[in-house]
Amino acid sequence: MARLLAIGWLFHLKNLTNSLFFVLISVLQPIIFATIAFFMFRSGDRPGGLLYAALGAGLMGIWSSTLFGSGGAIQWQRWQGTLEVIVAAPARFLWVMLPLTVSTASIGLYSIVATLFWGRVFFGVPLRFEHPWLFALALPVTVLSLGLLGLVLASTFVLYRQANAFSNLLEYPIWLVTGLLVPLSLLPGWVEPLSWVLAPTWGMEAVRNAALGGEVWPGIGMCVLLGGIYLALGSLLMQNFERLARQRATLSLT
Amino acid sequence: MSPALRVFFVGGRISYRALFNWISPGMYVATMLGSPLFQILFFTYLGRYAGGQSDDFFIVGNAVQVSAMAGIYGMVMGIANERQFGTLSPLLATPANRLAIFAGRGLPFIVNGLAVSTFGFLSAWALLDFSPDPSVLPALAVVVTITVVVPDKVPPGHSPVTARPPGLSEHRRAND
Repeated sequence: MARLLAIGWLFHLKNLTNSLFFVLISVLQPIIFATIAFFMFRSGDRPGGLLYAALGAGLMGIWSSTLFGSGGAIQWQRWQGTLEVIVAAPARFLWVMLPLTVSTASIGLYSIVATLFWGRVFFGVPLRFEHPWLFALALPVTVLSLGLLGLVLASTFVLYRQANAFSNLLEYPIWLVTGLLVPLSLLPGWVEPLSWVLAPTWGMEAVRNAALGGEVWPGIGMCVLLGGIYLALGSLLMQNFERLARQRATLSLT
Repeated sequence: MSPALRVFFVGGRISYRALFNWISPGMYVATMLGSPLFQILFFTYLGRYAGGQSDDFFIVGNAVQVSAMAGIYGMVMGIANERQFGTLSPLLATPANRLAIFAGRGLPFIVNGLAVSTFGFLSAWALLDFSPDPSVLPALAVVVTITVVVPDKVPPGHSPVTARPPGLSEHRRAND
């Protein structure tokens, strides 16, 4: 199974890297948002928050690639005619889809690299991390937890004809609710409990604290915990999708 | 009704209904209303955190900019789908007035863009305490109208999407 996961992840990562859409989503778009944030922070009261902005914009890119990649993961297999083959394969459907959703989050790592590079070169963002080793740990844990969240998205969105609309709709709200650029304390009080069940909130906290100083382990721990919950939920939802597709004979219907 | 006017109005309406992918209610609400609403909220809260400008600055800028969803994406989608569905060549081969054909196709997106921008302003009024001086409303309406119309007619990048009417520079940061 480990071989299936590793090769599947690498294959999908290469595949996504060849997609102009995902390169734009994970490199160009975060750079644009980072630039806007840099200028806003500079002209406002937070000229020292440029690393904060670079990391936030990078995580925003990870969420975008996960949302658009994982949200349409099953539908793409359907359009490509590979869904029936995957479902009929001896390996469990879950273990075939998991590397795909994790790779959609992994491609978001380009975002972090892009925003840090862009910030350093054009805005003089200081790249001094308080806990570099914990930063190197927090980032893959965050990506993995988002990939597992992507599994839930993939198995849910496929049930709805208007899934693309969900993807378009969910980009900004999650950026906002998970505090990627705007602190949760500025938002209405009812938003905070929503943020607790979303891995990007804790991933951002871990990554930001590793870079700027603060407690890193609670964020990492919550990412691992939520990742486990997403995996269990995604497994159930994938089984549900398979069952419904067999019952209604809708596996290959686009 | 003259042939050119029929092509303009009827052709534009049919084209919009057939070629605009986001016209179904679920898609329209999520993409044309929900996404712009959250864009306005995101940048206004980011602006509050960054400081330096009032809420109005971000609300007006974003509420005007979201019309581009309809004006640019919609119009591009309409023409691109014409080609995708194989109807562009026959369309260009018809003797119908070209200006009437393409201007008519732009009209529904102009109306749509105005609706999206208006929704953005109303949402900001309801959620972000946006209440501009009534005297600036005509100027605001003119700016939004020009912004919606021009992207449909000139290449992207030449539209005044960043234009801002006068009278909205008061430094007001509600709920700070």
